[in-house]
Amino acid sequence: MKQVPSAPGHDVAFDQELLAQIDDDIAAPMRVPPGKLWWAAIAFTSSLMLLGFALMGYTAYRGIGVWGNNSPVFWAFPIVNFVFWIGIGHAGTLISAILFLFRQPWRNAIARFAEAMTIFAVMTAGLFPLIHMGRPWLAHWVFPVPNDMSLWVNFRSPLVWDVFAISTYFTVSLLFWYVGLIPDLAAMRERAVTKVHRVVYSLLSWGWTGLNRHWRHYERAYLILAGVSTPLVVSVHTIVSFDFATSVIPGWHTTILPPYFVAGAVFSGFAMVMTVLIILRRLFRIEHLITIRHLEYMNKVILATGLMVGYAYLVEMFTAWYSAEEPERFMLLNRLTGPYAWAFAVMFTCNVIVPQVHWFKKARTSLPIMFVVSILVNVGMWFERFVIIVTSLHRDFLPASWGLYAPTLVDFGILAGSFGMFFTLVLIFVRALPVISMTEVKATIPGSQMTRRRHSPSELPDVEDGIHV
Amino acid sequence: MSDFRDVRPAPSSEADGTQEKIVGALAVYESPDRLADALVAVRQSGLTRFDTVSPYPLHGLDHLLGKSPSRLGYVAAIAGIAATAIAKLAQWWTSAVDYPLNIGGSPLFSLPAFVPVTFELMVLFASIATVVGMLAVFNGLPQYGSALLRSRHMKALTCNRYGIVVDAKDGEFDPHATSDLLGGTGAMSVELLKRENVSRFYRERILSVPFLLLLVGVAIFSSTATRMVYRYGGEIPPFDFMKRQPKVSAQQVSAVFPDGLGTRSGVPGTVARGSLPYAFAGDPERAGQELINPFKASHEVMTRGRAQYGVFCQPCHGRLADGRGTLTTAFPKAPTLHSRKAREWSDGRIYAVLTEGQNIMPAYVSQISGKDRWQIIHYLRAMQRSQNAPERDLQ
Repeated sequence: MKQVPSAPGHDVAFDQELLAQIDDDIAAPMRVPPGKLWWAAIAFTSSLMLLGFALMGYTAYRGIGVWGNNSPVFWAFPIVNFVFWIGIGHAGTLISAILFLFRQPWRNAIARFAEAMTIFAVMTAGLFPLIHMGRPWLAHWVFPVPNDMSLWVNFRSPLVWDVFAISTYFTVSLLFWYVGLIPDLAAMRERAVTKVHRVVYSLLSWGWTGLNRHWRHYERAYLILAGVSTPLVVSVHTIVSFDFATSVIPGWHTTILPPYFVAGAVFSGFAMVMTVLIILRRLFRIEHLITIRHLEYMNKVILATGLMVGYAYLVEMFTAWYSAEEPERFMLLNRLTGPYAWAFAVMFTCNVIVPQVHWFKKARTSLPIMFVVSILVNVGMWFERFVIIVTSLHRDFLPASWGLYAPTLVDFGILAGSFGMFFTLVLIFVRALPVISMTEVKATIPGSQMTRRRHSPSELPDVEDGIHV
Repeated sequence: MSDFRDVRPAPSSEADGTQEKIVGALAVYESPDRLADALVAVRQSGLTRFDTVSPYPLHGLDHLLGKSPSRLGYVAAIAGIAATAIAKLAQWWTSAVDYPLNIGGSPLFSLPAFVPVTFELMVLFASIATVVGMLAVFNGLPQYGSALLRSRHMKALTCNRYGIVVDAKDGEFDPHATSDLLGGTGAMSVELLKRENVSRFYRERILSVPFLLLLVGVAIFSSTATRMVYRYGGEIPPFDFMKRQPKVSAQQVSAVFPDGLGTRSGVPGTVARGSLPYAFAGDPERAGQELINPFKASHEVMTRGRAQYGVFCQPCHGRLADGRGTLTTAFPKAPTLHSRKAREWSDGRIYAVLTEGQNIMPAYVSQISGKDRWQIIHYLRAMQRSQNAPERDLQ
């Protein structure tokens, strides 16, 4: 196999066969039937997913009393899972939009996969508010649609902001991902091996032929989408944090919550991308496209966002002490020494201490170490949401109404089901669509562009727009 | 370079009933630099309706083609501004006009609270407008019928080859001359693009009678089914555990008690608040002597008495208590309350009549509370005094 550098910096002579090789490598998972490993993996994840769906159906049938939620901890596993999955999604938009605006070419190899992950994570996350309603068949009441009570939603409520933020985030992520896919779908259409492939890829690629006119507007559209997605991704987790920050519960009512949530979201999202990519590049033999160098960059982002999250923890502690507010100080002590101190310990170890190994280049470039770190980070980030939600709620202002929270088997089953759903979607995606953007990788190979600038014959008549062949 | 003359012979159009016409010419090049050189040559030849084809965006082609950057940004900006205005207006109208909701006394129209939804809608509208504008308006997609898609070079053009397409509508276009011209620019291969005059797909599949009948059938079936479900099915909640509670309603049988009655009476001797038993049953004269009106005449008492009189007494006794009520055409006439007898009765005597009824007048004990009965009497006294004022009132 040829060594294909996927980003500028390697001075390699341009070779037409390289481009074909890239297409072949990326398209390979879609052209060959899946192996036993894939079938085993999807059998496992889809079983988990079905278990989760069955338990969600049971919840809708019996009511949410089958969960551990009870006074005073009314928000527990479902909201922890919701915030966790929304956070996972944020890495995708960061890689695809923010790194695009910063012109970081190394993102090209991982952007497509990260965007797909965003969409699947938001889909998974969206299920939790739905089942938390208890009567999900009335879910349309959260939208301002005329209903039988002639009542509108309360636009001053962060929960309504959430509805708009999440649905916008999902729609825009899907559009962004799909726009990026169109030229690749056109390439897949030409490489289709079966009639079904040809029909599906043809329909989805809208008859894309790669005219310069297409590319000109396409690139501008991509730039605009990146431009609007950047503030969007920041706004989404900010609004999710408003669900907590606008209340008066000690531990929720802080102004640091929005930036802290956004940093945490990017942190966990990068870790999840990392976990999956390490497996994927090995299975599909695309180590030459997603190189150790890419993974090292991602480890640096994990280290940076991990430090931000650690800083937020410390500021929260400092503010609690400095405020001299009795409930705030008690909340801090209760987190550190109360019944859920173990959750805080897990969170702090996984999120703040473990990522520090990435100060060392050896750790940043070692697959086993970064794999373990990426998993631990996500464990830690799940516990962070648990700490924020459960330890803040279980002991608030009124000691008479304190209580403890214990999840039930249904809670655990639905959590497992959410992982099943996410990974089932990932497994289907890697077999159905190009995991790496062929277009972007090819466009940034050394020599794939014109090597010298030419003088434009400006005195000649204009080239007309919109040829029709 | 030798195989540039790659003009495939036109298929025998008449044989299969379709007509094909040449819509353009395609030249294929092996590198971006060859393409750029050819592009300059094609422009200098005087052709104006042509474009390039490439598997990925080639930077610098816009410059060679004399194209300015895409104006898609205006579409996004207009959509975003429109969404901002719509979102703010909609939130103001729903929250402050159509159904004002008082949430903890916060203002009905609150600019900062409406920012998040406005921002999200701005992003949503701008993104959708950008994508739809890019695909459908600026790029004219979908183009499933494009002749390029039928070219045998299309696979290479989405992988590692670069092309120039000349539209046959160009004034300078001539199948042979243009092919020769393109061949002379260093093309690996030149192909004439052909396209069916009328799409057989539309003519034979979409516009066929069975397909159109199927569409009409689906429309009729789905609207009828929807109507039937709403008409006869009503709203069916999936689960209604909350409505079905293990409790006994009034008049239901209960297995718990030996007498089988679901409705239980109170413990003997208990008295509900405000329901002291009436001690003068059957003896209105004694009530008249012993009962004393607990209320003093005041504006509040008069207002209440007047309101209750209007509800319960006026239909028969009339607005002026003169026995000319609105119901007197249907019911036996009620007496005037300005008679000497009624004026000379004590408040307690009248209270007895209101409580127990008299002659054809029913008892009002279950409809008018005791307090209200006393206040009605105060109002009645005022009316009596207005009709039969004593001398001193007129001085």
